Order: sequence, then structure tokens, then C-alpha cells
Amino acid sequence: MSAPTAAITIAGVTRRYGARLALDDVSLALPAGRITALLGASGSGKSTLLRLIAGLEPVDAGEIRLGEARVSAPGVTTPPELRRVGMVFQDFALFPHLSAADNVAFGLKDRPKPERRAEAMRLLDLVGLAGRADAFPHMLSGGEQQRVALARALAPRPRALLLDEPFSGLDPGLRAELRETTLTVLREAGATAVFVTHDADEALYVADLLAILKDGRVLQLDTPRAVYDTPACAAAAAALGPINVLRTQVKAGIAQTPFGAIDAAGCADGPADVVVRAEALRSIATPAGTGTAVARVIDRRPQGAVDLVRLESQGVTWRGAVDPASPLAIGAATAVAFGPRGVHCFPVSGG
Amino acid sequence: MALTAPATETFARAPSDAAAAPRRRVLRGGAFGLVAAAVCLAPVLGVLVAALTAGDARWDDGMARLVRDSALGLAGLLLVGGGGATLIGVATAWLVTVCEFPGRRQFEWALVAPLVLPAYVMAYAYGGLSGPFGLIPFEITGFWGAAFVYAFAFFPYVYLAARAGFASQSVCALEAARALGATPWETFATVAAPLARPAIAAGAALALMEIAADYGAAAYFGAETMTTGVFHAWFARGDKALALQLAAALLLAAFVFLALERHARSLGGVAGGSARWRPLPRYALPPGAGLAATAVCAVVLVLGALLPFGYLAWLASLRPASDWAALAAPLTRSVLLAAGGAIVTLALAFAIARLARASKTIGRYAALAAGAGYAAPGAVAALGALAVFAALRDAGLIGGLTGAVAIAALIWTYAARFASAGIGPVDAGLARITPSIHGAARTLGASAETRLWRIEAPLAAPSLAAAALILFVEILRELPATLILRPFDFDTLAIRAHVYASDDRLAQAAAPALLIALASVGPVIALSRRIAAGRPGAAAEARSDGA
Repeated sequence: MSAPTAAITIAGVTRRYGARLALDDVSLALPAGRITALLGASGSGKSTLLRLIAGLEPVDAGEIRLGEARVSAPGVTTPPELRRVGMVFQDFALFPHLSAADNVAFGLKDRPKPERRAEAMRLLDLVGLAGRADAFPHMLSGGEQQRVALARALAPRPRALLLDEPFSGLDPGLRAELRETTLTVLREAGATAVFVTHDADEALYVADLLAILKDGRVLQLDTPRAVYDTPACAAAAAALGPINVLRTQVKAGIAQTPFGAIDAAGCADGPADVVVRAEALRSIATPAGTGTAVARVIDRRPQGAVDLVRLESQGVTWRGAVDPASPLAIGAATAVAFGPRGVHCFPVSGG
Repeated sequence: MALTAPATETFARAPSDAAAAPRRRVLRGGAFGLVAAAVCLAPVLGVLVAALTAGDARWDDGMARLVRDSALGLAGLLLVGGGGATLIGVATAWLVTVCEFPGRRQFEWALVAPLVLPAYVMAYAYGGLSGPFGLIPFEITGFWGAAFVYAFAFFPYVYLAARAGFASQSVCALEAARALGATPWETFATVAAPLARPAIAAGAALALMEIAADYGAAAYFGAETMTTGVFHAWFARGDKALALQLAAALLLAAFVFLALERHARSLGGVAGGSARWRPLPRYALPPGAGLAATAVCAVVLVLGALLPFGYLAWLASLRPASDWAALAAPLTRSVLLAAGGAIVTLALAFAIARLARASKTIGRYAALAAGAGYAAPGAVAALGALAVFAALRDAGLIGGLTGAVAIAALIWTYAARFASAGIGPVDAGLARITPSIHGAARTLGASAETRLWRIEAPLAAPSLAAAALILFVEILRELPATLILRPFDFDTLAIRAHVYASDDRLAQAAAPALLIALASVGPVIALSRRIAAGRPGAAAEARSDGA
């Protein structure tokens, strides 16, 4: 197998809105046939990046290439209608005056009408909506609208498909189901897809590749597993779940914390930020061995598969995740230890 | 005579992708909008430039008297007619929004009915109704006749604005006043009226604009005002310079009212406060007061609509079939002229609304230019168009102002005057096309032309059609500009009505006047509905009332 070629290359792209930097020197290479998730909080620039790839906005610096073709550079913007890049909008943006089938057929041009209709029906069937072909958008449920939007974007066989928080307007049950449908359809189509979300679980679940954005910069681009296991920085780690951060001194591979000594192997001696995931907490019946400390449970709340607890020790509060069956009670003192999995250490340069 | 209002700042939702598009593309797409704005502004500039370059008016006693009588006449009509309209409008609006009395719900929508009759048509009706042998045993004519007709023809502007002003007030403020023991009258004087003041002022400014612009009613009653002064100077005295200078002065007065209206409307947000929408709590008036309220509203409705309309309908019903047959030609001309005018007007409005969506700043200036055209009274706009065409003729670009050229000048004047009224509805239609719908069409490969025909036009079509209907009727009713610019012997319904009425052949004027009024019924109902639906919570109110 040859090395995967980049379907979308983003090189040093900057985008400003007045004085605000929405994207700051962003570079990414997105491989063909894969689903890349752009994960970040609102204002991180993820939707802006999507709009730049679609050609809906110009770049202020850097360039964007689709395959070999340069489509965006300062002063040069190939208009979206010439890019063959499909987009699913957050509000779906169905044309309200066209039926589902006509919406899907909209992008199919230069073909006889029956053929367009047949192709639209094929795509509606793919998303499980063959029976709703003649319904108008206002007659469709939110989930159905989303699937029509997906079919519509796929119809012209785009070089890449961009999805802007496509599930954010839907209720949780429907969300999971549609995520599944969308994934299946995208994989069947072998589409190169870029997917914007602010939901960490969704990004981990859907993406082949995960890009973490914050304040207009890309913090990390890697597989979801790699981003979770080896985050590039504290902020990248924070994007994938609750963490604790402590500025401390590392000596001989060990970081001392109010919650015991933590294994910081691979971290040079000196000041460092120790990042500890909530799920790295282990509670121990009796204090024993190194790395354990006694902490008091000050809060405990169920959070689905796990319960989140807040632990206090020497005036510092950390978050931890425990099994719902765990007997830890609020107010109890317990011996705790963190790690070694889920502990990351980032040396602080310049003290 | 307007059924419409000028465009205000309605462009809050310009799509972000357009804002981000390269400036050059915005300007290319907006070129039509800039041309449209220029087209609207040209008659206004034409009048001002011509007034400055026409040389001196003939100075004599007649001229001095004309200027004095025109200016004092207008001032008096504004004061008495405008004051009357404001009084009637505020009183009826307060009654139907804040009080409960027999017939209130019917009056609430019926009180806009006077808008069906253009002021000049109402004047003809009262001319016929009054006099030694009439139903009304004294003469309604002259200054007081015009003031009376203005008050009843234009109070709905104040009524609609004040009603919206009262209705959009926080329920809490009114309830608080009641809880503190204020009587209905005290609540009105100390809470409701001050809160609604900007809305009332905006409505009153519109009424003043209409009074300043009216020609037909004043001319029929022989009341002297600026528009009749312009006609007198131009046609009776043959003094073009004086006519232009009077027109320019009138234009400046109209601008003041427009500015007043905009300013008052921008203050409308005062009502804000706590945004709790519930069916408005109304004072159930005691039986005696309730009947008095019913009587007040009934008298206003009878004088403003039922009596004049019924009288004209009765007169028209007495006419022989040959009379109606003779109306076929003017009716056809009216319909064609109004249809052509509405299409051109709508095209200008569409171009300006699109420009405003592409560039907020430039769009605002374009809308302002259209607003200036709207403020210009018909007689003034017509003189402006004449001035521009005269310049074109002197430059050898066109022949005389006859035939097709005159029709073109007329349609242009209509479009320049009413484009502003079309911008709002068109913009509302374009607002259905969200930035992401726009983006979706683009990412699906649709070119600008494809988007215009397959997305923008069909989505905006319903509101464009509604706007076209209103503009059609507006143009059908227009009198002074048509009178000045029409080709020789080119009679429309409005012209027929005017000519017959001026000849004291009121019975014959009734039929065309009635047709004009009937054509206005649809748009007035639409206007009334839109106002009723405009208040947040109006739907909830309708539900609870129905229960």
C-alpha cells in the first residue's frame, strides 16, 4: 500500500475578523478517505476552518490545497461552487421550497432529469429516507432533515465532505443513531470527511483522526487513541475529559503532589505541569506503599458510567472518577493514588 | 395616500459570508443597487438643482400672496389636520388596546378602514354629502374641510403606531400602575402615554408627511397649501421658477417629517423593560363608559369610512351602464400603469435590498436615498422628473416629453417614490435565505445566476407578490404626479375622478373613486393583519380569546 496522500492540505493559514485572530498559522494535512474531527470549544476557530476549506471565506495568509490544486491563498479564492466540496450545515440549510428528492438532486447537474431523480432516490435510500422523497423540509423531523442534508451533500460526489456540528441540534438518543448512520454512509462512500464538533465523546467515537483546536491554533493532530494517551499539552488533554493540573517540581522522575508522589517518568527534573486525568484515580482501602495519600471526599455526583468525586488534600481539590459501586461517601477520608495511566507531565520552560 | 411606510434599518442579518467576500465582488453584485438608489434620488436632486438654477421668480403681489397663503395654509393644515389625526388616533388606540367595551374586538381591526379611501376620494364624498341640500346641512369646504378630511383620512397612521406602542408595553408596568391604585385615566396619562410617546410621534410624523404631500383633497376644497401653490405657480402663473422653489421648500419640510419619523422610531425601544407577553389585561369599562367608548369608535368609523364609502357606493349604483362602460379605458390604463410601475418599483427595491445584504454600510445609504424619494410629495417628485427629462432633452438624448417618454417618466416617478416602501417586504423575503442556505447552494455548485433563479427568487416570491400588490394599489391611487406627467388625454381612474369632481360632476366621479377604494381593500386588510400579528404574544391572545 502506498502512503495515504493528503486530500486537503492546510498550510500556515491565518484568518482575521478585524483585530481578532480566528485562525493563527494553522497547518494540517488531512488524508483521503478518512474522517477527521476538529474538536474545540466555541470560538476555537474550528467552524472558521471548515468555512475556509469550503471557500465560503478567504484566507488572510497561508494556503489551502485540495489534492494538488491550490484553492485558497491570500487574494485568490476559488469560489465554493467550483470546489466540489460538500457541506452539511449545522442548521441543515435545506431549501424550504424543494422536496427532499429535489433538495438532493439540486447539485446534480448536466444530466437528464430521470437520471437525476434516480440518483437522488439512491442517496435517499442510502440514508433510509426513500419513503420521504416527496416530503418538504418543514414536514421532516430534525433527524430526517439531517439525513437529507447528508444525502444532498454527498450527491455530487464531492472531493471532500465537511460537516459543521451536524448532530448538535438533535436530542441525545437520535444523535447516537444518526452518528451511526452517518458513519456507515461516509465509510461506504469512501469519503474524505472533516467533521466539526465540541463534543469530546462524539469526536473520539467518529474520527479516524482528531485535531484539537484552541484559540485559533491546532494543538495536536493524531488518532483519537494517541491524543488521549499522549496529549501534546495540558490543553489538548483537557479537550478529552476532566483533568487536574498542578504546577510542581519533578525530581528523579517523581512529582510530589498533595495526593501522593506521582510517577513522572520521562520528565526532566525541574518545574513541570503535571496533568492527571480524573479517571486515573485509584482509591485504596488502607494507606500502603508509595504514591498514596489520604484525601477527604467533599462531593460526589453520578455521571453516567462513572461517578465524579471531588477530593481535598492539603487545601487542594482534585477531580476523580470512581466506579458507581464504590463505597466512597461524602465526608469520608480515604487513601488515594493516581496513575500511572492517565498521568502526563509537561516541563515548564523558563521556570 | 400611502398604504405603506418607508424602509427603516431592517438589515440586521446580512449574511456573514457576504460580509467576508472580497469587496470587488460585493460592488459588482451591488451595482444594480447603486443604480437603483440613484434612480430614486434623481427626482429629488432634480428639484433641488432646478430650484437653484431656475433663476428668480416673478416678484409681484400675486406671488407674495401665493407664497404666504401656501405656507400659512400648510402650517394650519398640519396643525389642525395633524392635531386632529393624532387626537383621534391616540384616543381610539388607547380604547381598543387598554379598555374592554362592547365591540372592542371588531373596532380593533375596523379602525384602519379609512385607509381604503384616498384623502381626495374622501373629500369628494364630503363635498357631495354637505351643503344646503345635503345630508350634512352645512358646507364642508375650504381650509376646515381639508383639515377635517385629513384628520379622518390619516388618523389610522397614528392609530396603528400608537396601538403598537401601547400593546408592546410591558404588561408588568401597566399592572404595577393598577396595583398602585391608579385609575385607567391616571394609568394612561402617567404610564402608558409616556411609554408610547415615540410610537405616537412616529405615527404622527407619517400623518404630517401625508398632509404635506396631499394635493387632491386640498385642490377640491379650494384650500391653499404648498402642493396647490406649486400647481398654481406652474400652470396658472406659468412661473416655473416659483413652482420649483415652492416644491423645494415643500421637499425640505417633508424631509423634516421623515427625519422625525425615523428618530421617533429609533426611540421605540424605550418600551423594553421586562419582556413578559401575556394577553393584555384590559379595564372592563362600566356600562355607561363602555357605551360611550363604543359610541366614540363608532362615530370615528362612520365618519372616516362608512359614511363616505356608502355615499360613493350609493351614487355609483345610480349610474347607468354607459357610465361604467366609459370607465373601461381609464381602468385599463390604470391597471397597466400600476402593474408596470409596481414591477419597476419592486425591481428597484429588490436591487437595493440585495445591496444592503451584501454591504450594510453602502446599503444603508442606498436605503436612505430611496427614503428621500419616498418623502418627496408626488407633485414635487414629478417636477423633479420633469427637470431631469428637460435636461436630457436639452442634451439631445430624447425628444419631447410626450407619449411613451411621458409614460416612462411617470413610471420612473412612481418607482422613485415607492421603492422605499418595497424594500422592507423584499428584505423580509430575502431573510428567509439564511447564510447557510446560501452556502449550501454554493457548495452544491450553484453559480450566482443559478442561486438567483433557483433559490433567491422562489424563496422571496411570496413576499415579493404581497409587496407588488401593495405597490400596485399605491400607484393606482396616486394623483398629483400622474396629473403633471401623464401624456395628453391619458386618463386613469384617479384622473377621471379628479376631473369629474373638479367639474362638480360628483355623481360621475363616484364610480372611478369607488373602484379605487375597492382596489385598496385587499392591501388594507393585509396591513391590518400584519399589524395584528406583529405583536409578540398576539397568537396566544387569539387563542385565549377564542376559548
